[in-house]
Amino acid sequence: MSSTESSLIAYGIFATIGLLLYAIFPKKTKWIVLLVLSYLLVFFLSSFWTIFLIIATFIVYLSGLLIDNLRLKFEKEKINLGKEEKKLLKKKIKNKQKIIMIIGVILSLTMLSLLKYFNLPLGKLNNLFSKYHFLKIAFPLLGISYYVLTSIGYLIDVGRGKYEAQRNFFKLALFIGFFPCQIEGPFQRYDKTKDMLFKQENPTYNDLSVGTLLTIWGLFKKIVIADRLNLVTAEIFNNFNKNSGISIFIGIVFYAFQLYTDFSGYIDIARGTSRLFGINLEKNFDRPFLSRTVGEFWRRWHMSLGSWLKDYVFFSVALSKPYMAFDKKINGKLSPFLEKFIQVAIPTLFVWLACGIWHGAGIKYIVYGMYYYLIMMFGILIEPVHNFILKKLHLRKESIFIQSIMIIRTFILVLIGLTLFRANSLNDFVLIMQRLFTSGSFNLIKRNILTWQDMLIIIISLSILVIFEIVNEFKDTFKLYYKAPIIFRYSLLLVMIFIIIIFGAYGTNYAPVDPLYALF
Amino acid sequence: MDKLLEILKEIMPGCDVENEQDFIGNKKLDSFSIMRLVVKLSDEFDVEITPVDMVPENFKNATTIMNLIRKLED
Repeated sequence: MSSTESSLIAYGIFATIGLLLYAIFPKKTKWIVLLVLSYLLVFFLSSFWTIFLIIATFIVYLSGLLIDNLRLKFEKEKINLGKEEKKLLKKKIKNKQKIIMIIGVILSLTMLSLLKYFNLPLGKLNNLFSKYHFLKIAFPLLGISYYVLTSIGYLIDVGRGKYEAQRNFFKLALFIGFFPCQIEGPFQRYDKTKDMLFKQENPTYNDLSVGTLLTIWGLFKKIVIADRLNLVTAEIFNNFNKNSGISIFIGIVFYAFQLYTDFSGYIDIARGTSRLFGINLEKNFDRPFLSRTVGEFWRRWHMSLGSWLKDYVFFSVALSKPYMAFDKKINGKLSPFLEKFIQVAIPTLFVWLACGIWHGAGIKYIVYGMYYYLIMMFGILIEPVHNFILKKLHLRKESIFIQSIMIIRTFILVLIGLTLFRANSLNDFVLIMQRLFTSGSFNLIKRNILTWQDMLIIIISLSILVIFEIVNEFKDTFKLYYKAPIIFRYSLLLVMIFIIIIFGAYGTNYAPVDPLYALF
Repeated sequence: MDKLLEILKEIMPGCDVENEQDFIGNKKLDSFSIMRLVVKLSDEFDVEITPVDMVPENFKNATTIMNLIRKLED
């Protein structure tokens, strides 16, 4: 059994036992059940590497506490002060809070970069730890980017005064280590999840119903679609020299769906299991392949990363004193269009640099970030021309025809971006792109890379997915599901479970596929 | 309020800025224009707008923006 399969099974067992305990334990201790469960699962999957989760929590706990103590000091001292003195003290306190926040963020980022980007002797340490662990360690650095960024977000919010710090270390540890988000996120926001995490109520019938459906749908996407598509994508990206243009094109389209179904599948499992505990996590995907522009695509793909980058990178740069001073200097001196463009172009550059680096070290990921940045900036610059041409041709932007062209155009641009993302190197990317224009037929079945049965299941399951996504664009099918008779709902769940068991791409015929986004 | 309305008219030409109740929901103010508005507001009213203030509720209409400025002036 592969580490991914055993991890999924471990996750399922933990969640089931957790649900029973969550229901049995008294109200005041329910959050403790979640905390113990979260840490046990992380320890089960990453053994002694759990220490980094504890360190990440400790850094922001301590920094948050110091910042909050300064706030309390100000509240206490301001009573006896006049207006001017109060202003002065506030400024002094704010500066101190800012320094603590920056130190905390730097410490967290240093830990993340050291572990993620530098070749520390992790392999040796891993072997050493494995000797004392009852299982082969599945993912040593499981979820590190997710919990570090979640904890940094919390600290910046406390530093900015958005909310008060959590003074109970264990409650903060639950927020940062909450188990469904440890594999591939989504990034959590403290102000949005804290009440649900600590409310200590049993889930409603609705929570259980939605949670089950979401979890099973996520499993379907991951096991039936994503892992089977891997048969094609691994061949195309690793041996592109042996494949024709049409095979490469199909491989790239399949990769887009593989990444989407793998990542969104895991997120659905995470959201589904959380919902079983009555915790409603925010969406991370909103049918991204139906986006009309690249900007819209990134608002609908990995949404929690996008909103994290907006709040903590974009605004940190755009609203910083030096940048505001620069903005004020150009205010009124340029045309409104150029003014608007410059005001966002530079902070957005930082966002895309951060996005590229978050995905990995190396030039390939920087180029990946810059690719989307340049397309988006170019899109903004040519928008007036685009609108002018449409007007001249008497075409309405909102018409189905133009909207469909925009969706196809965006999908093609995203396919190029994903090829760059998946290619083993920048050089490979260029070669794959060249290879796209070679003749030949799709012969992967003939070459026994995949069976015709696999291809048939791919076509049918992708069709179900695409139809489901298009219908959801107009109607919330989950709402229709709740209204359906109970017999229908249970039958649907049973059918889906059988489909996953029968048509799941697991076993000796399929190479194990690690969660594609877990190690970013 | 007059100064604010003038700025809003400049940022959203053709919009009835006095009576429009939802700049963001009705797509009168996109994320790019908001940044331009923020620069103009901090310049004209000498206030410091922070990331915490960057929520849709603060930029919904002329009244909510005025309330934000008053809060920041205090």
